[in-house]
Amino acid sequence: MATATKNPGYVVNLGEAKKEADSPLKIAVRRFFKHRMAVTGLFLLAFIFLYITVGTLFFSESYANSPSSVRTDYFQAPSERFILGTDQVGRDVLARTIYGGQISLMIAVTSITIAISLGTLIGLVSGYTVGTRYSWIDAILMRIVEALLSFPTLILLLILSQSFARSTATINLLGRELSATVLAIVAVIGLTGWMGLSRIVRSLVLSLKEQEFVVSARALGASDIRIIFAHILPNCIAPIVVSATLGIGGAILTEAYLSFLGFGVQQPTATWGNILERARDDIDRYWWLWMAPGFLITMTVLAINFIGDGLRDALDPRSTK
Amino acid sequence: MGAYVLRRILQAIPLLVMIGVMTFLLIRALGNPLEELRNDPRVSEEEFFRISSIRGYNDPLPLQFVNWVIGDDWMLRDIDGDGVGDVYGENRGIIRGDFGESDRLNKPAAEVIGSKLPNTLLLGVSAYVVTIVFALMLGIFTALRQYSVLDNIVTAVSFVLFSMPIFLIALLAVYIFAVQFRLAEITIFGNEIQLPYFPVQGMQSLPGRPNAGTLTDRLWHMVLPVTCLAAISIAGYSRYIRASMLDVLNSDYIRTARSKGLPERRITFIHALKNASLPLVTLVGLDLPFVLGGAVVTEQIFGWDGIGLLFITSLGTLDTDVLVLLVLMIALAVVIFQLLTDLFYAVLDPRVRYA
Amino acid sequence: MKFARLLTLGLLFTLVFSLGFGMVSAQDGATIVIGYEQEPDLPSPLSNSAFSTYLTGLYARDVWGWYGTEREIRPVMVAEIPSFENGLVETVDVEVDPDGDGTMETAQAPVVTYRLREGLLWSDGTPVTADDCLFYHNLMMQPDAVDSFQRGFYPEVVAGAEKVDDLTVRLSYNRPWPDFLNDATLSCAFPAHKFLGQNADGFTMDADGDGVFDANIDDAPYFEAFASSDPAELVGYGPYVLSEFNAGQNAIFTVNPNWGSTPAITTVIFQFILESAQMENAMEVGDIDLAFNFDTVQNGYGAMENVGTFIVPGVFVDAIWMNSGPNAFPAMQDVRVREALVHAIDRRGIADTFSGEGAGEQLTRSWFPPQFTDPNLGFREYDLERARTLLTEAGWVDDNADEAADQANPTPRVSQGVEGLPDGTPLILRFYTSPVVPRPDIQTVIQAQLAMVGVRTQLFVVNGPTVLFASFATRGILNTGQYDLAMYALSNDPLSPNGSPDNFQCAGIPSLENPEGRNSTWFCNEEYDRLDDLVASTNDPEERVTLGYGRDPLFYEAAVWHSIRPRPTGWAVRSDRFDINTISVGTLSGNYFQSIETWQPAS
Repeated sequence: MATATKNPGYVVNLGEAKKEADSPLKIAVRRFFKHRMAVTGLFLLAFIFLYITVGTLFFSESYANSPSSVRTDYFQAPSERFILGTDQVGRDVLARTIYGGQISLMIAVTSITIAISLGTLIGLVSGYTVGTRYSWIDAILMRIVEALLSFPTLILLLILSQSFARSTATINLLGRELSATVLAIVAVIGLTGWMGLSRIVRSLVLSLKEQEFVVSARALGASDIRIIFAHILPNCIAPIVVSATLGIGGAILTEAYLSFLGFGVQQPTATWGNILERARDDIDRYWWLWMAPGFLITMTVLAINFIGDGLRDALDPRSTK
Repeated sequence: MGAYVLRRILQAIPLLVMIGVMTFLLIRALGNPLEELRNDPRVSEEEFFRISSIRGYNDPLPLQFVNWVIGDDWMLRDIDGDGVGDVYGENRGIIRGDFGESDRLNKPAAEVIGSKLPNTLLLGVSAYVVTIVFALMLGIFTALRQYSVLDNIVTAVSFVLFSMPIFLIALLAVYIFAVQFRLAEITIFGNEIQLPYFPVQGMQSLPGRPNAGTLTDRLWHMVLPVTCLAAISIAGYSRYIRASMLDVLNSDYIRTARSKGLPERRITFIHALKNASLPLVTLVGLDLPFVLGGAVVTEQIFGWDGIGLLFITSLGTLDTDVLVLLVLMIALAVVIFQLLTDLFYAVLDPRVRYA
Repeated sequence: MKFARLLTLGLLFTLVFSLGFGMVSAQDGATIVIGYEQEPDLPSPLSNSAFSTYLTGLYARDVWGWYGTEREIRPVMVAEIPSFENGLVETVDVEVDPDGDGTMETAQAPVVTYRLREGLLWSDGTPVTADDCLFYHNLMMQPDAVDSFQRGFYPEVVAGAEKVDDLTVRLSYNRPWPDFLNDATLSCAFPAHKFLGQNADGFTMDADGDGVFDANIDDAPYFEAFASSDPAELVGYGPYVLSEFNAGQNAIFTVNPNWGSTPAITTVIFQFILESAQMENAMEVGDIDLAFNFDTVQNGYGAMENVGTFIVPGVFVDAIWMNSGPNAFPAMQDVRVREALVHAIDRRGIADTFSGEGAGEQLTRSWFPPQFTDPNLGFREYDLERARTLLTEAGWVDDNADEAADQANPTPRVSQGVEGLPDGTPLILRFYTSPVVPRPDIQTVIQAQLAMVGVRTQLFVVNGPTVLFASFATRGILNTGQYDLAMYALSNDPLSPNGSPDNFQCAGIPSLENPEGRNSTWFCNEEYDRLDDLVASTNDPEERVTLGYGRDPLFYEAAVWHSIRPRPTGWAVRSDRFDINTISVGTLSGNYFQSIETWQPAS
């Protein structure tokens, strides 16, 4: 049975061999769209994106964030008026999940951008200095990476957020007022998420810089900076893209964890994490308080993991699919 | 082999130094626990100077680090601000086993952590055992039945679990197994049967109850927290085992074994599993020490009195000595396990050369 | 196929396994498990925080107990309550200087006779005698003999104690002291034989027997019993003895063999469950038999099967406490800012919402009991305009001056010309509360209301006893002043206009010298202290009330305490296990369980 199912893969591989003229990007895109889970993930993500963008046309942010002044609005089960019900202080859960989703995704994307930049940069520098007279840079950087990897991420995150989050103000971002804890969380997730990637990039650099095209570039007198950014970096893109994608899913979860432990984004700014956190006091009676944010978090992370999986398969030159 | 062991141990030393520096900086970044005295008009400047001096906060940061490591009983501390040393410090430093005192509980930090550690280990290690047993079963099964209906279901469930925050799983588990199960009554053969429901709070039944504190009672209390902790890890691990099993099953030597006509069961369990489990050993060796950090979220939800809860409380009250020791303990365990894993691997896998 | 079978077997096994243990929750009627939302550090009688008083009430009954909604007093250790009528209280003339100006006046100071009941035994079988009462008196009078115990007014107002016979002690005051029944009262709850003489395990407070203590009671090995979670050494006088104290888990009490009678409930377990939702769940699944002190509007107990509930009027009023001390955000030290904050909060609306319609009308205007509050004392009503004016006056301005335009989402106020702060510092306050429902919800509402006047808040919900209320010495948030606003309740003495020096006098401010101080708002006013002392030492009830009227505005003007919600105490009992009609409880925080020995299991 196992051998039978392997055959189609073999056939696909033959088919690809025929179209040798295609660029690697085209091949990757084609492979990606053949990946059923990845496409499902893409659809899911598109739906969630629509949910958090189109939703803002119907509700204002201050509607989402202000407690109701009418007592009978508190703890309302889903109804025609409040499709997803209301929370402990009468805020519309639907509106809050819409605006909360924006913040959650924003936090995830920005923090992963930081983590990826940091990880790539450190990986490149570290890998490139191995075997040169600057190899002590590599030694120090890698000890830092190993030391940071020896701390449990959550504990690192909590210590950092405790020291960051307590002394910050509110910020104005694109006309929206947000608790500055948003920035603190972004920084904290960004600063704790780069170590894995820096190791991957470093090992890639180590093997790439012995390859002919790099050796010849160096022989032709190309500068170190040029070699790193023009020759080595482009060849590291695949793992970077994959870990960025998976990292975004992880960051959404991380934000939820921090919120759950009371170190997350401050009220009244909503995030999926802190909506869910407030729901736990009333888990059995007020099921609608955790269903919606819980479902949205799971769906989004699931979609991103699917896409990440698809990307990994599509970008892996050894993949047979 | 001896040289290899020695070299690996020597390699760990710079790492330990780096861990020490980072722990120190991390905890210092939390702030100075004496800060609220600075503004207090009833604490004179001289008094504040004295207290800060004794606690070492007046020293330059590098010296603070040195004193934290080797102790400050070798140096005279200036406590009256005249620039001349007056009394010897009293801290013996972490390398001499002086981890300081918990400001909150007025007990040695090591004792505070020691009292919670068994609880955390009980929870963490049980969850780990459950994880590995189930992950192996699922991983092997799905690898043997690749793309079957069950494989697809397991894959889908793994993906969903993997995408959930653990507290959502825990809340769902509480909701289903503790709340709904209790409310549900099913009728079998005319008898109303109450569904069994699991406790959601604490580590054992209260004293005075039947069975309280017995082994079965403790196990019963562990069911939900362990399940929740294991659920997420099983998802990841079983995928990993499935992948490495598939790798091995498609390799040449398994094909050779098959062609020799060995029974399939023998191939699976002796030849394939043995080789597929090598990467698993690495994974376990690298993950296991993190159990010491406690499952912060899970312990919080299930009222499990372990390291995770201690960490949160200590963070809230800036109980620095406890925090330092806690972080240090975990990091050290990670380094040691890394070392052990490497050595273990070197013994098991003949391809690893001691070069 | 083999694996599928294994898997099924495994699952089946798990199910059977869990079925077997699902049944063990059947309970022994003689054991009651009380869910307890706070966890005391140590259930030591030396600690006088409310949450440990609940517990010590079980094993350390004092000379009398407070009872019921009528607050009638019942003698416990003494034969009868001293009063002028029964001749156990007399007065003597003393010279006092009420104004502190040097002119002496003659006044009537009480002399109170305590007559212990005959045949009282400590839980280790030693008789309770007048020496125990005298031991307490000596402790109170010698500051070096005790660090951790609040001595309050005692050393100041008590003139002396005299042993009349083995069971009788006479306590005299040096000034008029109308509250002798509840303030600076003699206690006999300390087993002297554990600290004095040969019985004291090598430690004695008074080696030479001259009545002057030469050791500190905090050093006594006796108290190590608490820390080692093995309180077998602990000696008390009450229906129960503490048999186990498991930090983070529970405190377990068993019957005291030397208590006159045997209660129907033989084991009492306080299970520490810190979150309201978990408490409800524990009640629903039968892990606990009794829950108390929960919110009376939002709770799930009423709907539970086999659970009966009742409400008793409480002494707790949830309030906003404002830190005016040096560690607060600098704006908080300006009384105009504190006033502005109150005017920006719709307190009556919040009380109506979270305590039931009409609660807003009953909000107390002062921390002191309503019957002793000056009727002319104001109530800072919800007034956004006034809040904005006050903030602007105090130098906290709307930086784009469009207050009127964007009321729905105003920009945060920034400093302009505030002393010690650079211009443009935003007004952001730290707002703490404990996780008791509905405090976090009220916190959210207040945050939104404060935002309407441009005040930003960071919300923190932290564990009460271990983090929020912990003492200065154990780095509590309140007592080290690391907060700006906090929401919690502090009970008063409903029978007296007396304040507590710990709570509001300058001397109560926590510091290095006073690590157990509880005046965490840093309210300090010498005139207030003087009047407060006078209230405490005036015999004439009407004059006391008048003095109180003079004192209360000083506290009111400081604007550090603002009621937000009256908190009646909700009680829920597993009626399938206990007879709810026998569950009588006290209304003061310290005496909830003062009649627990009369509670009965369901028949």
